[in-house]
Amino acid sequence: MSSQRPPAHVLCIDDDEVARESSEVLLTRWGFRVSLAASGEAGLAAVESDPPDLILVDLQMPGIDGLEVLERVREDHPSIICIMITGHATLQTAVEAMKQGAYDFLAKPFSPDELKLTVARGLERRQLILETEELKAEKALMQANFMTLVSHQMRSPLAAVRQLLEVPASQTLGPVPEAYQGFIQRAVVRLDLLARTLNAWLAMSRLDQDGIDSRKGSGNLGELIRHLEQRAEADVAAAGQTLKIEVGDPDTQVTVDQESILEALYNLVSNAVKYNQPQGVVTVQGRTQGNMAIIAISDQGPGVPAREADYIFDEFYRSRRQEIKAKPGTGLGLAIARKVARAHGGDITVESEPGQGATFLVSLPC
Amino acid sequence: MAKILIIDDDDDFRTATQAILEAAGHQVLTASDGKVGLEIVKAEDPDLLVLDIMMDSIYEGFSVITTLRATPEYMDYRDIPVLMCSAVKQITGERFDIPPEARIAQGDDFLDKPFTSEVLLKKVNALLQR
Repeated sequence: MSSQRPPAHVLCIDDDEVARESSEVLLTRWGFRVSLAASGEAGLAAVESDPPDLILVDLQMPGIDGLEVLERVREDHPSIICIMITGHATLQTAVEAMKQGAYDFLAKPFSPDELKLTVARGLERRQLILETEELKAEKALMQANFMTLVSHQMRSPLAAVRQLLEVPASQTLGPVPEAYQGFIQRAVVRLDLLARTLNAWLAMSRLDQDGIDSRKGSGNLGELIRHLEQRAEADVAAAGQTLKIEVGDPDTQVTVDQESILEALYNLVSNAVKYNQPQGVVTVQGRTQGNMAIIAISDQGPGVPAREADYIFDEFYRSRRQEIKAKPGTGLGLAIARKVARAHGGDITVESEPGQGATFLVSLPC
Repeated sequence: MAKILIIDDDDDFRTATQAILEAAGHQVLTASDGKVGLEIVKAEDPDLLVLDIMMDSIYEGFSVITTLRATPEYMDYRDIPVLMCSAVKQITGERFDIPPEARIAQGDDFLDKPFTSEVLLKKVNALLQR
């Protein structure tokens, strides 16, 4: 995977000309490419114009000293290895330098062997960091490619198949023999569920912390629940059920990415409707508890046994219980809800007594 | 009965949509790209366009509408209503932004793919009665 790398580039920052030049002679002899800088200022400029793999920097210099160089490099180029050269081999300065992120230190005077060993170890570390970064980038690219594959190469044909199937499903060209109708309907149901699963999976893969953070805006609990009500009321009514809203502290301020939070809460209401008893009540309750806003969504369905409570938020987990298995589901709704809640600094839990329904509690910092 | 032109580069979508519309009694013409579609508009003066807006690119569909609504050549056809179809929402999970130059007219409508016969016919009938 990794191609032949050019010789490692070492930058020596030292105001002592003799020290600078002796390091240069040695490092060049060992096959490194060497740059020199006579001050902290010149050193930082050199880092910007030609970033090295490793920096040997003298602790004590007039102007920008070694610790400041270290601090600035750590901030702007965290993968560059810094080795602090100190004239006062006190434990105190070494500890301070290491605390600030130096990889190692060399106490003057040091032997060529000490220099060689320390630089070699530092460069090994650098190599490791670079390889990790490469792997991360490769992984991100693979993930992006996979998303493209799923979204375009799978979704489009799936949509086309569903469209073709719509012709016999709606008996467009004339009556379909009854014996076939059930098969067509079952194919439609399975295809629709597959499309929904792919949708949900894509939605979940797309949920990332940065995206949610960038869309966050302030709102209040009452408003959020009102939006949820508007979105869900038709579904609840269509199922012949009742939606009950109870908001205790409507003015509680919450900072949320409304789109993803509403999607998560809507998933919970949809679940409540799906597993509820006939003509059941779905209750959405908002309140505050300490520094958290709580949105509780309850149904009157079969409930969640304690042994499953740990798993139901896992991706693709589907209960084996007959009353749950019988209803089509993607196994992703709760996983999405948890991912969204956690990305907001909150969480989701379930409270349930078997046979007494379930209450899903979403907490959000307020 | 109306004369409806389907412009879509996906053969399967075209075939399925055509079957549904013909079964409902409409005369259906088809084109597999925007350029051919616009030629047919001039030759046949259809009552409605069912237009896929995500053909080669999302802009091909919109450029058909732009040409139809904003060029003198199509002066006589700019009132033809357009039902824009797209699997974009399906594919990206997001709504596309409509470029302002596309001149979506009031009464034009959208339809997400895949669609049921019922929804397709409802939207087509609503546009035809406009």
